[in-house]
Amino acid sequence: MNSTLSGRIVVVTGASSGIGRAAAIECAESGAELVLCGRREEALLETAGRFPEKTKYRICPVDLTDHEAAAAKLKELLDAGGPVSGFVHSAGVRTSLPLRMTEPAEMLRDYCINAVSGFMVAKLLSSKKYVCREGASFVFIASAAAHRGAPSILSYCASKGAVVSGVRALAAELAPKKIRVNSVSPGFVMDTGITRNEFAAMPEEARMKIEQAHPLGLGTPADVAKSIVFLLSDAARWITGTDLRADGGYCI
Amino acid sequence: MTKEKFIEDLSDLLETDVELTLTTNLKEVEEYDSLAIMGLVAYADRNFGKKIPGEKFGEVTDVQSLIDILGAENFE
Repeated sequence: MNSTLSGRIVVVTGASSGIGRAAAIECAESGAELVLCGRREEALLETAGRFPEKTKYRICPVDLTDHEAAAAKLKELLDAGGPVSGFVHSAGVRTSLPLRMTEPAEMLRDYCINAVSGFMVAKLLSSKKYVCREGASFVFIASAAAHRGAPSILSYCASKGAVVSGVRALAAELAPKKIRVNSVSPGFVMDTGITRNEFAAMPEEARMKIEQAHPLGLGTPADVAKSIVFLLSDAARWITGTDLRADGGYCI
Repeated sequence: MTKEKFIEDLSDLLETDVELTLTTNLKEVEEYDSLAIMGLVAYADRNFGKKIPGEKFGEVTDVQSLIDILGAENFE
């Protein structure tokens, strides 16, 4: 355990699995107090079960696509605690469909969860009432798919591209409040809810191709979590509006 | 809309610690900046269906003058 985030409250969406869970654990191991958001309460409690002893945390079971209900629930929790210093938006979905099968509804769903829901939480957390006056850091999980295309993931690529662009707008708008806003773009990460099934269902040849596209090998959620904690910490105090590629060299 | 409700909304929009009244001089409220004016343009459209150019909000003095720009007929 270290004290990089000691005394700070960090809100994490998508904390029930994958990168969000790993980020929450890494934050807890760095001394932070956590507010865990996700749809499944049991899974959030399982995440909290992996925290070091004495870690303070609150559970916020919400469907982030219902923006108003999510904001109301989050407000209720935050009203009972101190100001927020960190936010990690890791909630996300990935639709894999060829263009000929893609419908607006799927694209809007990906956009709503991957981008809009995070921006709406940022709207709440950046308000004077909830944000730490000494400053804060928001980190959005984008994707290498925002930078490098592949067949059948139009919706995912487009929504993650929106995250990277939106982050730059927020960084500019929130800098006067001393809120830094950045994104992390992971490459193919093993053992997340999104990739586990997808990878297992792939033919051997396709799996090999993905592995070979990552010169440093495939990543783990913990690899990405380290980058997230870096951006949350004071070590990144002069960094805002940037996208950090944690992708094993996938986008070189 | 009541003027009290508007002042409450304005207070939220500006996120200011200044206690707003009808006679508060907005030019002296630090948070009454260009972002706030963009917010007011959207507020006028959403609540009163009025498209008011941003520069009009740059002309305000006190809160009452802001209400006049939004249209006194919209307030009780």
